[in-house]
Amino acid sequence: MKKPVFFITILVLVAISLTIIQTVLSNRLSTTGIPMGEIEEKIDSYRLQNSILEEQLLTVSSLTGISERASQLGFVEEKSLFVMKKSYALASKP
Amino acid sequence: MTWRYRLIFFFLLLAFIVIIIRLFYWQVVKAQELTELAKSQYASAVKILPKRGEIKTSDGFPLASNKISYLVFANPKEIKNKDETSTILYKILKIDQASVSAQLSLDRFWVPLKADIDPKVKDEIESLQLQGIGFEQQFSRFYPEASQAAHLLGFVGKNETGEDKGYFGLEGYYDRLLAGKEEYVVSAHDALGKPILSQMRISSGRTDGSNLILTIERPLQFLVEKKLKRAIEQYGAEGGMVGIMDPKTGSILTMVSFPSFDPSNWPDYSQDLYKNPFISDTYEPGSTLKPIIMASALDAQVVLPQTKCPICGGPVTIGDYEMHTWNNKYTKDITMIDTIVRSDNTGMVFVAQKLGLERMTSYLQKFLIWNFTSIDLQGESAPSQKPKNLWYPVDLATVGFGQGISVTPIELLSAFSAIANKGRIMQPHVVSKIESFDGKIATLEQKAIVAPISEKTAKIMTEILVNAVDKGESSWAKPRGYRIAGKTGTASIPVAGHYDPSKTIASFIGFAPADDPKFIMLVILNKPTTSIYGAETAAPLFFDLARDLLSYYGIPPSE
Repeated sequence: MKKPVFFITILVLVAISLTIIQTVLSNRLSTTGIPMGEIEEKIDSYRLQNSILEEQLLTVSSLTGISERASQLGFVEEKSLFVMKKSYALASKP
Repeated sequence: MTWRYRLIFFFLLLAFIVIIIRLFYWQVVKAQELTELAKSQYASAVKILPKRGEIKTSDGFPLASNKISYLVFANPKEIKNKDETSTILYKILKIDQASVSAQLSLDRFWVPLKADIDPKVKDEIESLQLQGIGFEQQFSRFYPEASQAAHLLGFVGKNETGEDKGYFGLEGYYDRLLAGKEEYVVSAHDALGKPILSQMRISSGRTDGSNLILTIERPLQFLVEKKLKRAIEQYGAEGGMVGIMDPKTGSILTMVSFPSFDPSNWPDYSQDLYKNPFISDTYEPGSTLKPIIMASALDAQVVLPQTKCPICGGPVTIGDYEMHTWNNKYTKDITMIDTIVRSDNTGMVFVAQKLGLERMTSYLQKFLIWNFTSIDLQGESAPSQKPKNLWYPVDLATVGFGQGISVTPIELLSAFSAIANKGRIMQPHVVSKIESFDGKIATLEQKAIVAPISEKTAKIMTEILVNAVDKGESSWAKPRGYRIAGKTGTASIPVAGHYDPSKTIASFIGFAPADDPKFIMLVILNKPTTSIYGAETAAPLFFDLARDLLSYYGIPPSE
C-alpha cells in the first residue's frame, strides 16, 4: 500500500514542478519580444546601410566612374604601344 | 424541507446546463471565428519579395544589381488635411500635385503614391511625420555601369499583375531564373507589436533569384562602347554595332550597338530602341558574305584558289541586269584569291554559278544563314529563305556578292566563325555560369552546332582572307606584325524596290591572330557620310579595336 502512494506523490510533485517551471520560462520568454524587436530593427538598419554602401562602392569602382574620375584628374589615353618581343637584361657583367 | 433541497438542486442544475450550453456555443460553434480574430490580433502574414538575381561580367562585377527603394503609400481615411499633405508630398516626390490629390481623395485604406524612391527621400518624408503616410521596402534594379551593355541586359518592367518582369536581352531570356520565389511569413507578436519568441514563425521558403555570370569582358565592353561612339561621330553615321566572339567556344566577349537606351529610365525612350539590333535587325551583308560563298565553293571543290574566272573581263549580264564591280575595274582570268582581295563582284557571280542554287542554299543553311543561332538573348530574329521556285538566275548571282539576301549580324558572325574555328560553328552564348541563391554554380556547356566546311577548307580560306587584309583596300589600317584575316563590306541598302545610290552599310569582319584566333569581330556602321566604303570607315575601326584586343590578351606580333 505504501509503494503506490509513494509513486503517486512523486508524480504529483513532478507535475507541479513542471507547471512551475513552464510558468517561469513562459514569463521570461514573454518579455523577450522587446529586445528581439530591437535586434530585428538593428538588422534591418544594417541591411539598409549595407545596401547603400554597396551601391556607392559599385558606382565608384565601375569603369564608367573610374574613367570620369581619371579624366578629371588629367589622365589621357595612350596613343601607341611599345612591344618588347624578347626579354632584355637590366644589368650584366662587364 | 425535501422539496426545498430539490428546488435548489433544480436551479443549480439549470444554471450548470446554461453555462455548459454557453461554453459549447463559444468553444465549439464560434471556435473558428474567435481563433481567426485572435490570430489577426497577434499574428501577421507578410509577403517578402525575393531579391532579383544579379547579372555579372566575367570578372564578377555586376552590370545589373539591386538597391533598396521604397513605395510610398497613403491611407486616405487617416489623412485629415489632404490638401496640405498633397502640397508637401508632390514637391518631395517630384510628381504632379493633381495625381497625388486624386489618389488621396479615393475612398480606400491603401493607395500607392510613388514607387522606387531613394532611402534619403523616404527619410525626408518620414521626418515630417505625416499622418496616414507609410512605406513599403522594395528592391529596384540598379546599373553600376549606367547604360553600358543596355541591349545585352534588357530592362525590368512590370507585368499585368504589377510584378517585376524582365523584357528583352538577358533580363527577358532568363527572367524566371533571375526572379526567384517570394516568401510568405506568418509570425506572432504581442500587444506592443513586438515578436513573440516562443511562437512558431512559419515561412513558405523564399528563394532569391539566381545570378548570371556572363562571358562578357567588362574592360572590352567599355572600350568598344567608347570607340564605337567616337567612330559614329567621326564618320557621320546614323548608328553602329560591334560584336566580338571567341570562335573556339562561342562566348560573346562584347556586344555593343548604338543608338541605345538607359535601362534604369527605359520608359523615357522609344520602344524601337529596346530591341538589340545585333540579333534582331536584318541587313544585306554585301561583300562580307563573299568569304562564306567562296568557302562553300572551295569545300564543294567546284573551284580551287587558283581557278581563273573566264567571265570577269567585263560586266556580267544576266537577263535584264548587268553586274558590275564596285570600282568598275575588271581583270580577265582573275583567280579566286584575287576575287576576294579585290572584292570582285563578277568573280563571285562566277563562283555562285559554279555552286548552283541547290548547293549554295544547302551550304548557307549549314552556315546557319536563315536560321536562329539560339543565342541566349530575348528578341533574336532570323529571316527565312525564299522558296526555291522564286529564285531567278539574277538572285543566285547577287547572293554571290552578298546582296539580295538578308542576315542578322549574329548570323554572319556565327557563320564566319566556322572559318576561324577549323570549320566548326560553336553555339553563341552570353552566359557562362549560373550561380544559385545558395552559392551553387552551374557551368553552361559549350557545344558545336554544325561543321559546314572541312578543316582544310577553313585553313585555305583563312590564308585567302589574310591575303585580302594584307593586299586589300584596308591594308593601310592594319596593325603591323600581326596576321589578321578579314573582309570589308560596302553593302547597298534596298529602298522601295531599288538600291539607295548614296547610302551604304559599311562593315568589316575578321579574326586574329589568323593562325590561332583569339577573337572574331564584326563591325557595322550604318550609313556613314564621310565615306560610304567599309575600307575607309568600318575597317579602320576594326583594326583600332583589334590592336587593343591583341594588347589586352598579351598577344605579341608574329611577323
